[in-house]
Amino acid sequence: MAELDQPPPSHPVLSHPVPPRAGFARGLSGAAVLVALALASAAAPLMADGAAIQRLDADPVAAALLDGRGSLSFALLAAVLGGALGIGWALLAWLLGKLSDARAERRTIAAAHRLAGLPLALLVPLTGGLAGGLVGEVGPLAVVTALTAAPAVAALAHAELSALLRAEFLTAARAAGLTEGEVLRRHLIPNASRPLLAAGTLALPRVLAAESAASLLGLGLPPALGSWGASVGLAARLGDPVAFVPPALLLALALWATCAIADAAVAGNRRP
Amino acid sequence: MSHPICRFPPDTVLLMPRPLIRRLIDAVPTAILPMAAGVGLSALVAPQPDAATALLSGLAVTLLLTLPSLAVGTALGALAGSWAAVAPRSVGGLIGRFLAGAGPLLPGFLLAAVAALAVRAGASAAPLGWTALAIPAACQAARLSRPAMERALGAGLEGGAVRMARGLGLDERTVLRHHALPQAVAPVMGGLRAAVLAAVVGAVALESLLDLPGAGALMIDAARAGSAAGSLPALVALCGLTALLGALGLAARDWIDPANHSSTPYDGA
Repeated sequence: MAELDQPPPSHPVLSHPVPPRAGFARGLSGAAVLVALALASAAAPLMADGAAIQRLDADPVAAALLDGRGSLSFALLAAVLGGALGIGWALLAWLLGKLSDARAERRTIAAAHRLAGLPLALLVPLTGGLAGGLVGEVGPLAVVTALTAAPAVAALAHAELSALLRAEFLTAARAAGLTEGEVLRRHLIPNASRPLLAAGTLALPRVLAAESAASLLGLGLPPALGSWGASVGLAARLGDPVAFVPPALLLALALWATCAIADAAVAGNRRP
Repeated sequence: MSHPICRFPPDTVLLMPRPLIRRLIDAVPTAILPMAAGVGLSALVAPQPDAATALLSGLAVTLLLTLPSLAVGTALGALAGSWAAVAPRSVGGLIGRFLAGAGPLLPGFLLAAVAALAVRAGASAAPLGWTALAIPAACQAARLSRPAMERALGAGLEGGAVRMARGLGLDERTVLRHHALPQAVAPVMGGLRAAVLAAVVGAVALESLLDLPGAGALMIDAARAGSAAGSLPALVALCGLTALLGALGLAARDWIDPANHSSTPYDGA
C-alpha cells in the first residue's frame, strides 16, 4: 500500500539528490556575464577621471561601456514589455479556448506561430526611420521592439500552458471535488508562473538583437542614448577597426549571455 | 547503385521533386503572394516610376545573397555538428562543437558589419558577404545536428535503424552515411526558420552597409527618407522571400527525413 501514500505530483517530496538541471551552469555563466557588463557600463563614467558623464570618444573601450547603458537598459525595458505581451497573448488564447471554442484558441496561437516565422526585427529600423519626427522618443521604439519578440514568447508560453493543463494532478484535483477556482488558485497559478516567466525570458535576446540591428543601420536608438549597434555600424562605415572591436565584442558577449539565460530558463522547466 | 538495405531506394531519385513541388504549392499564399503584393504595391504607390522593377531585381539580389549562404552554411554546419557527435576530439568535431556553442555570439548583422569593415579595408565583397551570412546558418545547423546524431547513434529508440544496420553487417561508413546522417540532418532542415530569419536580417544589414542593390537596402533607404510608400512594399516582399526560403527548407526536410522513406506508416514527419 506504500504506493498509495505518495505525495501529490504537484508537490513532490524529493528523497534523492536532484540531478543538475540542463544548461543551469551555462545560464549561471550568462547571468554573471550580463551582471558584469551592466556593472561595468554603470561604472564607465568613473573612467573619465571622476568628471561628469560624457562620451569618451578618445577611449573606445570606455565609449563602448557607456554605450552599454543605452543598449542594456533599452533591452530590459523592451524585454519586459515583450515578455508581458507574449504571456498575455498566450493567456488570451487559453481564455478564448475556455470561453468560446478550441478553434479560436488554435487560430490565435497559429497567428503567433506564423508571425514568429517572419523577419519582424525589420520593423524596428522601419519604425525608427518612419517615425523620424519622434527622435528622442524611446517609447514607440520600445513598443515596436517588444512586438517583434511577443509572438515567439506567446508560442512557447502557450505550449508550456497546454502541457500543464494536461497534467494528471489537475485531473486528480478535479476528481477530488475541488472547484475550478480552487484548482486555479491552488494548482494552476503556482505551477504555471515559473514556465510562463521562463518563456518571457526568450524576449531578452530577441529585443537586444533587434535593437542592435536597427541601431547598426542608423535607425535605432537616438544617438544621445548610445548603443553598441550604432557604434559598430559607425565604425564599420568609417572602416575603423579600433573603434569597431570593443562594442562588437561587448554586443556579442551580451547576446551570448542573454541567450544562455533564456535557454537555461526554458530548459530548466522541461520535465524528463 | 544502392545497397540492399539502403534507406534511399533507387526510386527515391524519381520521387525527389514531389515534396519540393508540394511545399512550393503550399507556400504560394505565404511566400509568392506577398512578394507579388509587394511588387504590385510598389508599382502603385511608390514615388519612383521604376520602383517595382527595382524591387523585383532587389529581391533577386537578396535571394542570391541568402540562398547560397543558407545552403552551404547549413550543409557544412550539419556535417560538422554530426561529426562532433561521432568524433568529438577530431579537428572536424572541434569545429562542430565550436559552431554549436558559438551561435549566439555570431549574429548575422554583426558578421555583416565585420564584412563591411573588411571590404572598406580592401577585401572582396562577394565571398565575404556570403561567408558572413553562412556562418549563423552553420552554427544553427551544428547546434541541431549534434544532439540528433548522438540520438541516432545512441542506445535509445532512435538508434534502432543504426543498430539494425550494424547487425546486418554493413560497414561503418555506409551506416553513418545512409542511416545516421539523414536522421541528424532532418531536424536541421526542420529548424531552418531561425537560420532563415538571421540570414534575411543579416542580408539587409549587409546590403545597406555595402550599398548593394538588394530589397533590404531599398527598404532601409526608403525608411531613412521617411517614405512609407517605398519601405512597406519592400518589407512585405522580404516577408514573402523569408517564407519561400522556409518552405524550401521544409521541402528539403521532407526529402531527407528517413521517416518519409519508411515502408510503414508514420505520422511524425
